[in-house]
Amino acid sequence: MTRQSTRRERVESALDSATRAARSFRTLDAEVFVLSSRVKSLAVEQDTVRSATSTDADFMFVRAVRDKRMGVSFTNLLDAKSIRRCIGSARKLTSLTDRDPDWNGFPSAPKRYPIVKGTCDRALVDVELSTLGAKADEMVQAAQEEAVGVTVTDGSVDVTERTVGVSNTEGLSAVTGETYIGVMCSSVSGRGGSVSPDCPYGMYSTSLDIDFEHIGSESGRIAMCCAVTAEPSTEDCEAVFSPVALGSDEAGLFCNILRGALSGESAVRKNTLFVDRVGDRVASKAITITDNPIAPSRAGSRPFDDEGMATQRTELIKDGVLKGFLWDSYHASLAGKKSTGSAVRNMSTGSVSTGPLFLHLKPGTKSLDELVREVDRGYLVWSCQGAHTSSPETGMFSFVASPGLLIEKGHIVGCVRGAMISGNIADLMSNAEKVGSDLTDFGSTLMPSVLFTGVRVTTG
Amino acid sequence: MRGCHLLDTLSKALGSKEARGVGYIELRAERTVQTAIDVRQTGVDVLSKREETGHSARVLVDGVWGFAVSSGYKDVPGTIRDAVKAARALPSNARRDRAQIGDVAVIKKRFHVKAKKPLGETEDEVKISYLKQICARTSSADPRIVVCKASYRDYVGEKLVVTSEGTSVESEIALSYLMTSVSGRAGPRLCSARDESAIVGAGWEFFEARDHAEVVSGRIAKKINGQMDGVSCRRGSFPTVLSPKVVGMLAHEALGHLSEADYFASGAFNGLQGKEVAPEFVTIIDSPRIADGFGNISVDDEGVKPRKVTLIDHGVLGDQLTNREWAERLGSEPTGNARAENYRVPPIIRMRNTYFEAGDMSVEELLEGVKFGYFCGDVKGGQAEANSSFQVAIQACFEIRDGELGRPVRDLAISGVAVRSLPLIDGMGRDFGIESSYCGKLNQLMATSDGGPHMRLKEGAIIFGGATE
Repeated sequence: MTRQSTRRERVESALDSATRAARSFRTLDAEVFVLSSRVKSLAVEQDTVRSATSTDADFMFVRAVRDKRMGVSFTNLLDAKSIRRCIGSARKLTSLTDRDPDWNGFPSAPKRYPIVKGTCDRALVDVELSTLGAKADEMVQAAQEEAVGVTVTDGSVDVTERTVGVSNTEGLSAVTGETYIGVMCSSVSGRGGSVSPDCPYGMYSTSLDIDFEHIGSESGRIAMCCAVTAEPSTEDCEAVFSPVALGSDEAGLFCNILRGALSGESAVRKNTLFVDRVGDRVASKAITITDNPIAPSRAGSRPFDDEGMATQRTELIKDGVLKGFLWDSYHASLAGKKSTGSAVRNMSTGSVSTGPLFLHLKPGTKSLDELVREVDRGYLVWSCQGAHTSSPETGMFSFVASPGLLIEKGHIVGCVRGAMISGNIADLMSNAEKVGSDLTDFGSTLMPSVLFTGVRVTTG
Repeated sequence: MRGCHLLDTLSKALGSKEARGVGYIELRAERTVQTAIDVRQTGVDVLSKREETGHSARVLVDGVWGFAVSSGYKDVPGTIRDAVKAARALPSNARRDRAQIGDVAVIKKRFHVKAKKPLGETEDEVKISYLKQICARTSSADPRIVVCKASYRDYVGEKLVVTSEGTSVESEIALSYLMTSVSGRAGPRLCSARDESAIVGAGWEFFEARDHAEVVSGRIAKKINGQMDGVSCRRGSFPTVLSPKVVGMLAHEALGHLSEADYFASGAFNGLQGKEVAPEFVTIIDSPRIADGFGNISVDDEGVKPRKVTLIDHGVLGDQLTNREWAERLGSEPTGNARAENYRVPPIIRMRNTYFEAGDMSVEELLEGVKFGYFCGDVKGGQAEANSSFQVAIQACFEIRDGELGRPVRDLAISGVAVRSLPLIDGMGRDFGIESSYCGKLNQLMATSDGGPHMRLKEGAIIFGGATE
């Protein structure tokens, strides 16, 4: 019996036990979410692979509803006793919550699920930590080879093999397995008072043929560009945002603002800058954004969302025009819409909200370097320090370009320390001139670089 | 499984065949219950209980750390085996710089929480009622408020650290955290504000006696009003007076992280040890215990007794924050800063309670002489970089005109480069305050407090990105 089938069997058995236990309580509706995973990780610190980790985890969330009152419970033990306890706990909590007159029950099973190809790779299940260690070492060397004085401050390799299942008392039941790898490398150049900002680069993949050397060399190349300090000046100018600056979880502006701003839950609560703007132009024609969790061979792809509804490709902004929001079944019913298969579970509380599973900005035809060459005077913004403090409600942002590389006549001339970029996402998207071809998979987003005009840069 | 039985299980595992010949083993186990409650104006949004039990093993084998995690407590020797296997799997070229640890004092102790009203014994109805009061009071404070959400979390339980050197520590866990967020509409413009309060090692009495609903709703209403009524921020650098909360963020983001030994090596302070980096009246401390400190610890997650560290001593760059590995590299005693978010992740170097020591000026004296500048009163998060660049999102900001606080200012963030900003501090208040929050590093969240007195910085220290209309 393979490890993957064992994991799948464990998830199916837990779903079945929990759903049956829930059905034994009359008048109780319940939804069960089970995840079983193994993660193999390596951590790089100061040019060296320092630690290796193996993490096994199983867990279950139960959402129980009685008389339109919901309680949520969690256990990380999937034996029969723990599962019954988890159901009992969720049921007990229903007596403490408020009745939600809008609750229409858990969703029924969809007619069919999409076939999402390329989400499992046996090579990732079988890969040894020793192989990953050798590749991580190649990544570090590739960064160092970019220039003398480049240091890889931190990096990581995470290989995840997981099985996810959802079932509910309405008869819905779905299980899927996936494997993916995430690789990250962050480098600096210089030392002490002249050290550069961290220059992160990384990506996700569903297969082992991810290019470790490219990740290291890209991080090292940007760090090397910071070795020269450029003269700061406050100005409104062109700026090329790298894929990292738009799509990464930690440092991506689009990722941090649009995930909340395009959520149907925010639209229902009238808590997004896009409320009541469907059909309006909210960006330039260069911007087309979809949520596409059915794209083949992508780390963010899956056949069903976190409440078991079928996923789909959903157009959000087409040629600059807002086409709609993303919906889970509850908020969709409040707004008179249909679920777009966009339920996202909070892995701390087990509650479900709405958001993109795999936000995808349609690429253009030019590489990042070609976009840079088109800039007469402006910046290459590699990542956004403080992107997480941007507001999905208002669209306002104010972050430090990290690094902010000054471009003059199509060439990077050096790094401006502490260049601050402020504005509103709606204005920024309206000033998108060209989109790059360098799509990068960050696991939850797929982003290329973008050239914007009229970017507000403030320096000291 | 009760604590003493669990301790036995971990201790026995250290004597198992899987542990034989392994240089260093550190076992950590936890049994916790998290209560999560989200309340909006419309009622309870989420009520959730999360029961979790599990353990991890961290081993040092031939200079490489191996780490493995498993649910429950059934097969601790198996987890040790997985950790050893992980460490041994790395190829020799990944071992260029072998990790070593020095000796530390063995600790055998159980740490208890002294709470008047233990969180685990406080009924959920009481917590829900408190959150509903916050939402009701806040929503009624201004008709322009459209969304109010009060999110409460508490964690209770126990955690254990047992090492192959003989340390065995059991600690009770009692941690609670409240975040209230509001959105308001000023004409066509949406605004947002937030408020945080948190305590560790105490019970529900904290919310009853000090941060009761009226206090929290009063604070957050004031903040959102400032956002709704505020004017745009100018763009550039101006003289700035920072409140203790913002000063704390500066201590944490711009200075504390740079003093963490793992970041120090490639950070902006490297090479400046023992040199003057700030005016003589500037002293920064990281302490394992202060009054109401959210970062308070009795022992760190490597089982080391923590001590106070002076990061900047009267303007001179002082000590680094270390774990056992980095202390050995630096030839110093570990400072007890190894902390892990939970048993599922290895301990890394983290701050505890980081603050500027108070000076001798009143707030009025700090404002005096500022012809035009900004007073930054509260924070909404921030981030630091290795080169000491910091970014802090600000709420509760006011213009300073001719030494007096003026109009409120909305939607802004400040930034700077700490090694350039520190010498431009030109006044330190004699008051003191702290902010409790979570800090993120290497995907681990950690409870910390930051603080200090009011502080004034000259033009050039802080950049304001400004805001568009």
